[in-house]
Amino acid sequence: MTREIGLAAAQKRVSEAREAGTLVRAVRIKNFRGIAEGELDGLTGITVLVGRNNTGKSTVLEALYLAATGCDYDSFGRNPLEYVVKRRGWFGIHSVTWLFFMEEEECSITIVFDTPSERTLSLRRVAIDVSLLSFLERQGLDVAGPIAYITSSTEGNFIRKYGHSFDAKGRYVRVGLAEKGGEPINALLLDWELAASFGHPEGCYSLMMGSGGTAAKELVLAVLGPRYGIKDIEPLMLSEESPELGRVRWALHVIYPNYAIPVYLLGDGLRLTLTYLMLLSTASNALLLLEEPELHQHPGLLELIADAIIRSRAQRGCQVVVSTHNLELIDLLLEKASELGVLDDITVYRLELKEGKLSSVRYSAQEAKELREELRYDLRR
Amino acid sequence: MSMAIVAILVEGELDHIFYEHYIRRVMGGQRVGHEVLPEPIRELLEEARRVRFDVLKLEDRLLVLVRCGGFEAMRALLGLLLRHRDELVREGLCDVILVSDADKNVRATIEGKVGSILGSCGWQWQDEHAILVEVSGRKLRISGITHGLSGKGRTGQLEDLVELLATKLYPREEHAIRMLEAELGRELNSKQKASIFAALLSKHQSKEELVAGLLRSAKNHHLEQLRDLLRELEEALRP
Repeated sequence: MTREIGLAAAQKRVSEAREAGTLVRAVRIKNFRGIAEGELDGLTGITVLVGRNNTGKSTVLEALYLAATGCDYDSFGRNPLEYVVKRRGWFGIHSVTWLFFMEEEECSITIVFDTPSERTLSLRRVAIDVSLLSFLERQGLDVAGPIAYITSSTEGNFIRKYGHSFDAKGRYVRVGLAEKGGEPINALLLDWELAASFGHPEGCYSLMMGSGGTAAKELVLAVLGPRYGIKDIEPLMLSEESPELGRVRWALHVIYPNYAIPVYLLGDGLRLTLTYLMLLSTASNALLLLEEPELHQHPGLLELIADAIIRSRAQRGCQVVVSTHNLELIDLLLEKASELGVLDDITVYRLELKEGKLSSVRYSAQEAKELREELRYDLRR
Repeated sequence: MSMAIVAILVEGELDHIFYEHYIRRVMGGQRVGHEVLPEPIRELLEEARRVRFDVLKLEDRLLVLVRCGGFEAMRALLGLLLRHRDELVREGLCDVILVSDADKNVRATIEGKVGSILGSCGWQWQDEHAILVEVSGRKLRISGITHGLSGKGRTGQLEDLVELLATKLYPREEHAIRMLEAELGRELNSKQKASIFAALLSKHQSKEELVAGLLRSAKNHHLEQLRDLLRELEEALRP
């Protein structure tokens, strides 16, 4: 069971928080997960992170997610810290302590904006006192077993301080400690686990229309339409009723010029891609953090994802940071960015992580394109 | 202590074969396996899938002869080497030599690429051919040389040297080409002549095969003449 305190208010705050045009230019990480120290500077509208396994790509995305939101709820209603702790699986309290490099007591993540200003999130493991224990017990945590408690504070143009508690079974409670000024950034970490967690695309459609409105839908149609001849996506009543449910059923349909097909009849790949596209298009003026969008994708569908990523930047004003192992996706991003005239907005970073020290080689879009076209260079190396 | 490493970037297959044979036959280099290269340098070149390279040992230096696949690709590869300069220089890379046809502005290419990656700091012209780049307290030298000759019937490309050598070694075939020119009523350029030499002399009518054969069978005095024409390369390779 997860307790989410003040969720509705946080969602409302977060929805229009990010000022249009503000970019995160750099991120500095200290003692977070496998990164003892590292910095990425010169981030652009679309930043692509590549590198071998265990070079810190996911950690950078998680760091950006936490620092941007300040551990406040994101617009999907997720608590970022809880999501980051649990997304790699729940292994008891260790899942919390592994947030800190080599079990350090404190870590920090600083993001630098182009405005210019910066914001630092510090996470600190602290002991729990008796009065807090009884409070957490009242919130439903099992305080007889091990409890992890960390405090987070994000400062800069705003201060948000929270306490985050996990019991051994993964039950989570967040406690608001202080709030002052400013707003968190609307940041969304999108991975395939999130897309798959929407068992029915209908739920995802409602989320898209509720948060992103018709502009989000237009983006999805701009991506899907030319390739599949889809004119619209709409929830439609099914012809038969379902008396056992006592109501008329409706289902999301893709609408072609002369007919419509319920989404549940589409192939798994396209259905999942549609879900992903709807999630991706929901965000506006947000920091979109995409982890390996190529998973489960046929190259044809991958083109749709690449198109949507570029449009999220060009049409929805999002800043996108995407991690990938896929050269086809990189080529497609460069190609689509050229087509939409935002090529200079792409940067590719090849990450390396040695003994906790994060380093990177940065390629501009023109360089990356030249290396791919002229040398067929494997940027992921 | 690792050996000093020199990367020689050439445009195409013909250049690659020419310089590989030239360095072995004229300068006394020996071909060695890729495995002698430090891993980061070897991997970087292997990951550029269009690139082919050979490694030669010349005195106390390792020469990496890289066939880039065109002048634009050579420019891109220079950029890649510069992006990874810290790692590469740490592993022993001290010189990068771009070899191109005389009709290309290799000096401007080097300056443009270095400037675009490093900005205006951390590098300077050492002389009219070479730029010195400061890399963590060490120096990386980047120079450009051209081959090819100027004058009537010359193309400013490597075929000028190939045709010159073929003419010295195969006077009968050269006489046949002159007869052909008389018949056609016009003079052929060195590129056309090299192709005819290849058609007449090599088993598969390939210029690459012709070049390998010429450099294998050339006499010392022919090679000395060639050496005079490629003085720039030897100077660039001098420690």
